[in-house]
Amino acid sequence: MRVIKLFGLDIKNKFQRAIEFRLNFIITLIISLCYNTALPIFQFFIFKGINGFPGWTVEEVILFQAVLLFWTGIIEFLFGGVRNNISKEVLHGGFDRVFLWPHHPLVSIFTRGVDVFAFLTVVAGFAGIMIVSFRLGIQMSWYTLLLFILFLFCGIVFYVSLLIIYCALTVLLIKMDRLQEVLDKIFFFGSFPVDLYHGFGKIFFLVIFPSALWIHIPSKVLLGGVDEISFYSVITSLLFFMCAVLFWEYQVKKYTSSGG
Amino acid sequence: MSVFYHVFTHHLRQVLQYRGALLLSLFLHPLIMVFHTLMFKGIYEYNHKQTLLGYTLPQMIWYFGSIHFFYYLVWNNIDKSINEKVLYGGFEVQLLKPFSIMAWEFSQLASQKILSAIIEFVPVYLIYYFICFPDFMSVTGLCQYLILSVLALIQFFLMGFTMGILSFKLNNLTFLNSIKFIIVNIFAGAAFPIEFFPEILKKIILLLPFHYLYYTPVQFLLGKVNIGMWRVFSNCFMLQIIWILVFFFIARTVLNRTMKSYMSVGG
Repeated sequence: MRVIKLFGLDIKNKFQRAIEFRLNFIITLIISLCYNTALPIFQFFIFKGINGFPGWTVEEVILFQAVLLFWTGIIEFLFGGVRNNISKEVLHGGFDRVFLWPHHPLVSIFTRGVDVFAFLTVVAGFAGIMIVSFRLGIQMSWYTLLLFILFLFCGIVFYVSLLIIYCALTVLLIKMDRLQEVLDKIFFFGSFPVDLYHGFGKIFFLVIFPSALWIHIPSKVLLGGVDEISFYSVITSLLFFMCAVLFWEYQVKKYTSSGG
Repeated sequence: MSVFYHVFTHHLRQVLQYRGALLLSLFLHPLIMVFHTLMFKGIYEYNHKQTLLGYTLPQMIWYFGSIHFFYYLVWNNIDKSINEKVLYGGFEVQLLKPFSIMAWEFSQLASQKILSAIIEFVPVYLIYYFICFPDFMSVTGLCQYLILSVLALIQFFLMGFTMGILSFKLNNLTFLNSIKFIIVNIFAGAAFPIEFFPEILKKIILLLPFHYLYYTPVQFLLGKVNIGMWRVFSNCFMLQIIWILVFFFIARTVLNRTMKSYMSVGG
């Protein structure tokens, strides 16, 4: 509950700050939407350029892209600023402040990473899911909705775990420009249906490194064809989260400050 | 030259301080290449084709793998760095230095890129070479790619510099940053090859100067251009030089106009 309250405060602050630069705010909202739409467009061009993805029709891929847009919007909105904030704090020597704040350092870092410019992307993604679901005649039962929310939540948990590992590594290694690219690449792989991979590759992204939780599994839930194996990803995402927090605690113990 | 040498050695010391991050990138980028290989293998097998949109499987894998080379050799954050100086103060300190701001920023970037080429590009290129053997690649193609990448570096620097100087007018450059990402990922072809676009969009993109940043140089690396025909290379080279001159003219004009109206309230 406290975490939600902190997120609310950050959203309010960021909106107030963004509105100070009105022109920049409006243009960035639109540009951010265009930018986040780029990945679904890219996917669509790939899909059209080849004979499609195994097991996916055109309409289903459009739904997949709407989920992709919605997902991108959510994580950008909630955690879009986390990477920049931690890099800036560690590089410029402001990291010690994190330990002085009244909450757990991770709570403080993550509840200050809202990127309000992704708001329009969340709305566009949500509208996209509604429209495509209606066109596909998907019957949205309570069970489907709950399952969709469960997998989406676990996807967020897994994404947060990766961000925690990123933050922990930043505390240790300080300059992490290249790791940012790597994280973006991981997200790139997660934005394709895992049916593109065979054998171990598929199991890897479904269970071992469950990036399929972000878009593939929620899309499959809406389409009513979720694999049984997907349920294991819930467990691995939670395990990832626990390991990430332990890794963070370990790194923080090794951290020494030379602040005044 | 002496200034450049000092900036270079200063930057070298800075990079060596963060060697852990460097080692991590040497490990993770090849891992990404492996996943690219797995993904595109699946796509090619499903389509039962030797080439997709003119790219063989190794060429496609290298196209996406080479994006890291773009970050090593061309990418810069000059706009962000200038914007931060403008927003949080510190720009007047830059003006007090005995050389022009453009020369200072460029020498810093050049030193950074020379180091990246030696300690990142070469090892990762060799690792890629063993992961996915590039049967299409030649030494000439590699040299042509590197020459065009140097020009791309200058072009991208001038673009970033102009964007940075615009902070004086716009204060906050968040939206220009997003535009930069769109330019690089879509118009320069860093997110995916331009061949994936519909014909009309492809023609428009090829008329714009941004494809020289990544798409055109990488075509030489992938052996998709007849590298024996130096006329093709020299055409690309000349056109890129013309665009660099255009961007240089824009950058100088924006800088001169901004400096004329610049006022600092120093302490």
